Amino acid sequence: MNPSLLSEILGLMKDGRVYSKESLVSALGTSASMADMMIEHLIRAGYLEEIGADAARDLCSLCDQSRRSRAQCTLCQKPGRAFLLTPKGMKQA
Amino acid sequence: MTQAANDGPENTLNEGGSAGFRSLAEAPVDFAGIVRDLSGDAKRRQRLVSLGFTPGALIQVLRTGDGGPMLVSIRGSRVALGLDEAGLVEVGEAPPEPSSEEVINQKPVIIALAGQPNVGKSTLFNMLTGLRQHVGNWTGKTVELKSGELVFRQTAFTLVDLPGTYSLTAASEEERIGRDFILQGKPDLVVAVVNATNLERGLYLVAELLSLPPPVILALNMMDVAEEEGYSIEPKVLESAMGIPVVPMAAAKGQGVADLIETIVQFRENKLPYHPQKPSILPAHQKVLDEVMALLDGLSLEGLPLRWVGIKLLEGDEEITRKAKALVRPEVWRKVERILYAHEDAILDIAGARYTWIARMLRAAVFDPPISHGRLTSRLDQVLTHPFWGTLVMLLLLGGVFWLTYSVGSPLQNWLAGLVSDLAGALRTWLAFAPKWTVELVAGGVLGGLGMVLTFLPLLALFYTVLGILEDTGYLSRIAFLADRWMHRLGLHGKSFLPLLLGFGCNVPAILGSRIVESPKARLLTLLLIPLIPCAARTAVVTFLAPVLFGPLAAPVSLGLLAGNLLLLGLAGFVLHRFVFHNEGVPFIMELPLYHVPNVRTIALFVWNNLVGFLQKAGKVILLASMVVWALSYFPNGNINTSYLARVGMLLEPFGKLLGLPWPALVALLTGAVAKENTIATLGVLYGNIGQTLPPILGTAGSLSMLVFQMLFIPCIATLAAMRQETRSWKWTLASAAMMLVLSTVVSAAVYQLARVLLR
Repeated sequence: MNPSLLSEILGLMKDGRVYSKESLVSALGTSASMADMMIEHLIRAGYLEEIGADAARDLCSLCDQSRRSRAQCTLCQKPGRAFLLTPKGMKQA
Repeated sequence: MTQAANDGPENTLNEGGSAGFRSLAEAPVDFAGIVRDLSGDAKRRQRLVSLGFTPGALIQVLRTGDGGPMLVSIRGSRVALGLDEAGLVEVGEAPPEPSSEEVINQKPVIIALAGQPNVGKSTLFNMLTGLRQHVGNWTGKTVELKSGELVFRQTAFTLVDLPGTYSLTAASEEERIGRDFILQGKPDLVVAVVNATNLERGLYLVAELLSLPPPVILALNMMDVAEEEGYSIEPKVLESAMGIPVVPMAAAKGQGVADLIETIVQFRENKLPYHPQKPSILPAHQKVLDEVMALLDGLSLEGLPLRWVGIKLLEGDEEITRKAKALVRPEVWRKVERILYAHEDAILDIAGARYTWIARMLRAAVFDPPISHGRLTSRLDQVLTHPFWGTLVMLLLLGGVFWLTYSVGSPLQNWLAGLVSDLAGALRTWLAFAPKWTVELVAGGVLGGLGMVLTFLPLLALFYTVLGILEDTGYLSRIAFLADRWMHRLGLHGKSFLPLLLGFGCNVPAILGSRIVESPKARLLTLLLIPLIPCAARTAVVTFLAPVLFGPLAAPVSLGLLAGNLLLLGLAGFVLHRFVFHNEGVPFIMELPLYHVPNVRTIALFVWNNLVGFLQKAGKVILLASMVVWALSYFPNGNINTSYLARVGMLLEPFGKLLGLPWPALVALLTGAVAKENTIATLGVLYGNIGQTLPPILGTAGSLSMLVFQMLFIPCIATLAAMRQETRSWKWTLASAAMMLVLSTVVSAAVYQLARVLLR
């Protein structure tokens, strides 16, 4: 039997075959909403860790452009979330 | 059971009143019947629902309108209704009154309404129960749940509105309440309400509900919205795939509510098939589950099904684990724990099986979902973040940026450079009476340096406009993403991505931002690589120098330089990772911003802020540097070849020969250490109108070497200061500067020598 979709995500990440949520959706043949749900599940189970959107906002506050401008870059306006494999996730994958 | 009770909904509800009318507005005085359906817009329907006009509600006409409002009795209240509103209420004949024994002796059927927040569950609850609602405690529980009564075809129903919940893992109070009611309140039936526009979310809850004892009916709500958004869902196919009744509905419009009631009744009468297709567990973990269940055999945990308890233990459910531990003998629990520890990964298979089940259901029942904004982004990203096609598109787009900048901006820049040159000549004539050094300071130092930099403004304005467009569409983060794919393979920690991304704007915040990388080794690797990211200032200087030195070939040359820089970044990462840090890269996934149409105001502000920033820098650092460079090149005797600068410059000549660069060009590159734009100012001071003077001096090979050196030369002083601050080590700061110096020298020399051979 094939591995479950959750195990498949960890495997894809470990092998470096997915980098963005969009590529994950494409690799699994699911929807973005499903990918979100599975990522949240893996975070709750301790296999993934989220780099908080706060981190991105903090970085944006260091940027000259962001400090000067009321028109911030796309990343500052909508900092994307990023998810890392935790040591537990690495071990499992 | 009366005849009416056995009839389908078509016979009792859907044929309208036998008196020949369908609308309440047409009903005569003393008409007694039921509400069949509501029409009109959502707002008016909501108002009617709030007055108790829900499908199935008994209604009696007390007074007809005769031009004024009509008076009706509904749900024990007298309601005055305008004829317009009454026209929206479709009524039908009331089913024959059941004998009082039939209802009184019947235990109400308890129906739990479960679903996520905002799926229309409460709307449905209100429609079904109208004003007959109350809040109360349920057996053994202190929590209060809203419940309501519904009598339909002699059957009394008690509907319990469970709190909105995404799953039954008891991760929140709402989930715990919902789960406890389903497991311990022992409802006869669960109606799972899901949002048809976000089916996958709702189906996770359904997958969990199916593993519990009560049967489940799926209320596929918001079908109208799903259709408007272009989703094509086949309820019948979904019903076959899931093996449970599925009722499509749009509760806010009152559509499908009667069907749901009818389905519930038919289900209770065993007229509908029920063969739920539950998510399966992989055989390996089924065996583990069997072992756990064997150990827990005989355990009575608040009446919960043993298999479900076993699954929750394998999933690591804290509440169930705590309760089970308290009830099981310690020696047995130790055995259970050993199994759970050994199969910590079971959660992946158990929860994963639910997702696999959802995917199967969606594949079966959802056809051609619409191309939403997010989906469009996803499709575009399949190409734009693809290692090959994405890189190709990136090169084409960047090439286009340079081409557009040069083809439009260069003629303007040339014109301005000529103007500055003419102005310098005119100043020398007008100020002939003044001391020569003063004239030269203004004409050669200020105008030659600062003036030359200012001719750069049209190019910069164009460059930032195109960059701003790419930025605002969300494309620029894809470029960083493409670069990071390779960096990631070289052992970079996933968190390094954000600072590296910032580096494309300015290396200083990127270095400060590297503090989010916790691993010291990964952080140091990130810090050392950041100066290799071509910042906006370095790219801007190339944007200026490339057309000056290469004319019509400026675009491919600039593009090649940028691509080469990124390649070198990868190579440096590889070497540092392989031989110095031995880092293990941490894989990551990131969410890229959605593509969107660029906003003119945002781009205008982006361009304006960058130009103002540039002008501020020009008025301070570049002006000062221009004057210092001019003074060093003029004194002691007004001849550049015997100036103080020349004496230092001559020392650099052997080094310059290796790179094919005369000493003034090297000095100009050195002044770029203060701020990258100084390179242009210094070239202006030392060479005058560089568009005319520089190309013949450097030649093609020397020009290439100069641009390469400029791209890779040591970072500006601000970057080095930030590096010192973050590493708290002079050793690593100097190591970074040395690495960049060696790299720039070696690569420039190689490019120069190769170009000489090839272009001979």
